[in-house]
Amino acid sequence: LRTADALTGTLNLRRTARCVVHLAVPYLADWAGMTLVEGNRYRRIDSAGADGFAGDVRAPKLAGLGAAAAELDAARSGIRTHPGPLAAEMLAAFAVPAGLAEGLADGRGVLTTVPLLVPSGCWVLALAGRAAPDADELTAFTERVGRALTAAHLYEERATLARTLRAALVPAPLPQVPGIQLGAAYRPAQETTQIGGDFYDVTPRPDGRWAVSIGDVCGKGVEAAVLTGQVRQSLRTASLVTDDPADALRIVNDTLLRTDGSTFATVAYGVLGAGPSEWQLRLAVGGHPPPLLFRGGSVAPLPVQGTLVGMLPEVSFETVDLALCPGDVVLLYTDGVIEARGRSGVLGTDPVAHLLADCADLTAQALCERLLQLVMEHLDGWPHDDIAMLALRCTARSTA
Amino acid sequence: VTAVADLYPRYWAALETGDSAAAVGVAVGALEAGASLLDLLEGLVGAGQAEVGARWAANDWNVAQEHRATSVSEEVVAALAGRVTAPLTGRRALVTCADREWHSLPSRVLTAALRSAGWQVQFLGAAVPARHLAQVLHEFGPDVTAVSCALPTRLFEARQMIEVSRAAGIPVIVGGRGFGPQGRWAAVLGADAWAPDARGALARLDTLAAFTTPVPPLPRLDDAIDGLRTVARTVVDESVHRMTAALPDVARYDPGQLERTEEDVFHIVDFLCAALYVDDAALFTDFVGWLQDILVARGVPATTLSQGLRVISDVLVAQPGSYERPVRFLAAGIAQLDGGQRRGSLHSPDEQR
Repeated sequence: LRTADALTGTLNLRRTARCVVHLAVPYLADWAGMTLVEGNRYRRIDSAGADGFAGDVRAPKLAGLGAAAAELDAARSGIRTHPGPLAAEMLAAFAVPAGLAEGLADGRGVLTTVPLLVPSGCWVLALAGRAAPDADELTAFTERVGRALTAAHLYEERATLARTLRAALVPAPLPQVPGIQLGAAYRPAQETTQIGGDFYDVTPRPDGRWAVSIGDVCGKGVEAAVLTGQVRQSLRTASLVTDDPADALRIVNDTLLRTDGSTFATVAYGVLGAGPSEWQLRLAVGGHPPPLLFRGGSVAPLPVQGTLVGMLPEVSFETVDLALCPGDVVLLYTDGVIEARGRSGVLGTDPVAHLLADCADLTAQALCERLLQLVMEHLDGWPHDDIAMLALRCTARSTA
Repeated sequence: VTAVADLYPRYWAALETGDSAAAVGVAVGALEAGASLLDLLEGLVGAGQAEVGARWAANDWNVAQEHRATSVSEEVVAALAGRVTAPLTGRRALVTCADREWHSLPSRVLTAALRSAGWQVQFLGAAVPARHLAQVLHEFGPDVTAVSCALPTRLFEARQMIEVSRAAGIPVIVGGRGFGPQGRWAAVLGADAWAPDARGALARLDTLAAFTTPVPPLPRLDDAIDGLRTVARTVVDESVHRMTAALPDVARYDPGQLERTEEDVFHIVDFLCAALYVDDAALFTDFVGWLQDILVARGVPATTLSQGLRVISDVLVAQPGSYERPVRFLAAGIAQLDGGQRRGSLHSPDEQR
């Protein structure tokens, strides 16, 4: 019962395997080790603390085990009990720790191995003790453990798939841009998956400048996130064709109209590059709240506007040029920030501008975290739309 | 090797002026000269933040100055952490703040300390929803979840993190001032372990079991918390209204001061709920002592808070429902303030920070 209880809690493969060796000692043996054989590679975890699942280290190849690999292979055919003395290959095959191995090699104790088949391969449970475990207890134990391991393998497969897909749908880590400090915050409406329809991106352009974008695709959750992928991809393609942000938005508009027709987005898109002495930001927006500029102690929205992207064939976008000096901060955000609705109503732009003025000398990342805190505390537990923000803080003159 | 304490004045000077490059320079220089990461995290970052809190509490610093210094501290921790590498030991930890908890620096410090000891760490950041934690736990499969909570008013959320983690069989270590002096509310809420700081956490984790059981439900003592939350808005409005009528100095408040008074009363109700949650009047009286120092440092007469608590108590008694425990806790707060005025303040200014 204790076995079943402990095993049902987790879906994680490493934790499940760890739980198996934890439960086996001292119930069935003095030491327990698990070896997972998948294809031509293996991983181990044991009750003495060995953990081949930690870190991102690739599983070693079976060939590296030499003669011991044959013993591991033989263990896959059924339950085997080995009274001592045990050959060195046997001890190496299951990585029995030194002190224990000495005893087993001298003929004191018994090593029992049990194969546990899982969808992707086979686990071999190795148990070392003074005597072989009781057969009925061992059977009951391995049946439960086998089911838990199978479930954990299936979950791991799903989780890997989900992680890979998710990585494409959530903002990538920000790059280092010398002279421009970047910061961002992202809080999707969907708490569990942390996936939503807002996005931001800072990516290098072939001409050495940077493409800076933030946007909000219609809809929520995973469906919206998939559409952000389309918009981000179109923006990247457009940036190869033109360095005029308004042109880029026109291209994205045409692309969205042709591919779907029901997808639209708000986007702020800029090209950031080092000018002769100052940083140059060329910026266009489509249906997006105008970014805020902090300069010389005061905050003002940038005078730029444009129509929604992907809604209509006839659009109007304009590019504005802005020179950034050290101390300037540009804050881009989605409407989830200013339209956050709490007990006392909608947050609005003023508190955001005030916070920017107060926190303009923080790091860009700390600024975004403060702003996210302001929004979340205003919401005070009320449901919210996807929230994203991106701050660019100029820390040094350009050196172009 | 220069002692970390000897470097502190230079570090503080940098922190005070918000000069992150200088602060990072002092800390990284010491690390490269052989100082230990833990000593620097404690002796520079920890000591600096304690002083920042004291300056704010004494009204010497405004919130913007406090935020700027904290931002510098975060940069220092990131710079130090980036320069320390340790071979992985095979142990995995998940570090997170409770939901609504925005003080992320202590958990950043813990993350750096764990990594330097060979732990593989996933750091989830500030204000993490419990539902998100539940998902990450199964993906990452840590051996321990570390939950940081700086404010006792976030103990409800901290408890949710404990429930979620223990349901997955993963033990929970907690830390932060939110869990009270010597972590007195950690065990009440079902944490498997508590540590006073990063160094203590590393030591405690060496002996912490790798598996735990689901946490039993908390006993439900009465309906006071639910009731209080339902009537909170009414209690705050009514209390501020009565205070304006009854207290001459409050009657002279401008709209900004009235707004802050309203926030203070909300805060008092929040802490009252937290004290009810762990069923410990000391949580409330500690807060009241701290708030008194904050208010007095900002020119509020020493008698105002005590009178305010009486008004809140009167308003609460008049509400439908039973408020026996909160009224008793309020009385304990009042008794402490009235006693404290004769003996002088019993509380250090940074007690709650």
